[in-house]
Amino acid sequence: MSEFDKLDNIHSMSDEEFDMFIKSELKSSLMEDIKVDEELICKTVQAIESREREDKLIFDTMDSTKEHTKVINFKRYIPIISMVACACFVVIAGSLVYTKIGRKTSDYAYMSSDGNSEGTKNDSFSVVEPGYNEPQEWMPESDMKDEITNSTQNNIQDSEDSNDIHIDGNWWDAEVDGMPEKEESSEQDGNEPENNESLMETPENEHKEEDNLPKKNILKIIFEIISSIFPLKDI
Amino acid sequence: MKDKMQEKEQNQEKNQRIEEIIRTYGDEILRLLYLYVKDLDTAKDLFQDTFVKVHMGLKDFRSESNIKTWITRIAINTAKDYLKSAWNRKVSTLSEYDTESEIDIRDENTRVEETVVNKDIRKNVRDAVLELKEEYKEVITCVYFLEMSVETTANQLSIPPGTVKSRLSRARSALKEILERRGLQ
Repeated sequence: MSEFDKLDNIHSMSDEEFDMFIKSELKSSLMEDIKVDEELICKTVQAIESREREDKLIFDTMDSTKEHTKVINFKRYIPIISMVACACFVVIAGSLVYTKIGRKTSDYAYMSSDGNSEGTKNDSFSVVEPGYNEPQEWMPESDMKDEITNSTQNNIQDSEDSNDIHIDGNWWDAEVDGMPEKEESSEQDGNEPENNESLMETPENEHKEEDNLPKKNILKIIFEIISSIFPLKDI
Repeated sequence: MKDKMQEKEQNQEKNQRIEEIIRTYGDEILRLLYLYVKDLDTAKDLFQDTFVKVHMGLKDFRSESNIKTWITRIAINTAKDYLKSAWNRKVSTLSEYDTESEIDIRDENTRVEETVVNKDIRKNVRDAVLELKEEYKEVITCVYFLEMSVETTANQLSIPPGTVKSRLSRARSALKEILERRGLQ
């Protein structure tokens, strides 16, 4: 049977014959016409190599992206770290401000009379307050009391002496005896108790004033804050 | 440096291996792809894609299964993906007659009469196969062209063997119809 006859008698072929016919014709047709040439092989190999390079690039990029992701993960903690740092700063600043404004007299360093900072409470100490350019020398309380007592007794004695002179009415005798004039003595009589009072007041009262000073400052600041928030006009 | 040298050597070995595979199975894969897409240039493009995929999956390939079956499966999936793509639906094939002209030039020295007859029949058979519906064409390609068994075809196309048999029967009837119509013309 010729090829043309085969094609004409397809309807009379059995399934097996038909299968054989199609197989042979299809295969031979494709095998003759379609073949892989060297050019296609070279192109395919080049395509594979270029794909490999692309994959390598993508892989490297992914690696760098992973590193970047690590940085981003670290960055996520930056707000927390900054908040903690801010909180620490506020605490430190607050404590510094508190110690500056609210420190008490007892916080001052005691200084011995010779200027040594390692003095005790019984030694004289210098206080440097804002507004005071020079330190004031103070004495311990016991010494101060003794001095006050002595000076008071002396004054009393002096006044008694002056009274004697006055009673006698002989001022010249007094001058001759080297006694001070009445005016001077009267001045002394008048001033010395005041000085005594100032001496009496100085150590303890100063302590009290120094104690009260920071409290006043704090109250003043609080008042200013409150007044800034709630102006008096509004109230 | 050593790692780079080793990497280069490994790449060279891989390229040599893929070249061997192309030379061994390339013809059959190209014909298979042609049967799917009906266009030689497109088949050549898909051929490259297929072997790039083969190269990519070669390290994961388990040698217990047949490499030819594995490559054929990759080629079929590549062709199916192409046919499904929107690009393929828009582009019409123009090179069908160009292939015929190539064939004419190649067979210039053969006997004119024999060439004409054989060519006409083969062309009719091939065109008849290409004219079939997609589901029939892939069964014909596997059973007639790749000479696979029904079970292997079922495994390759991921369909039951009964479906392969029924599709083969319908494809046979359709082919007969087409060829009879062409013989009468």
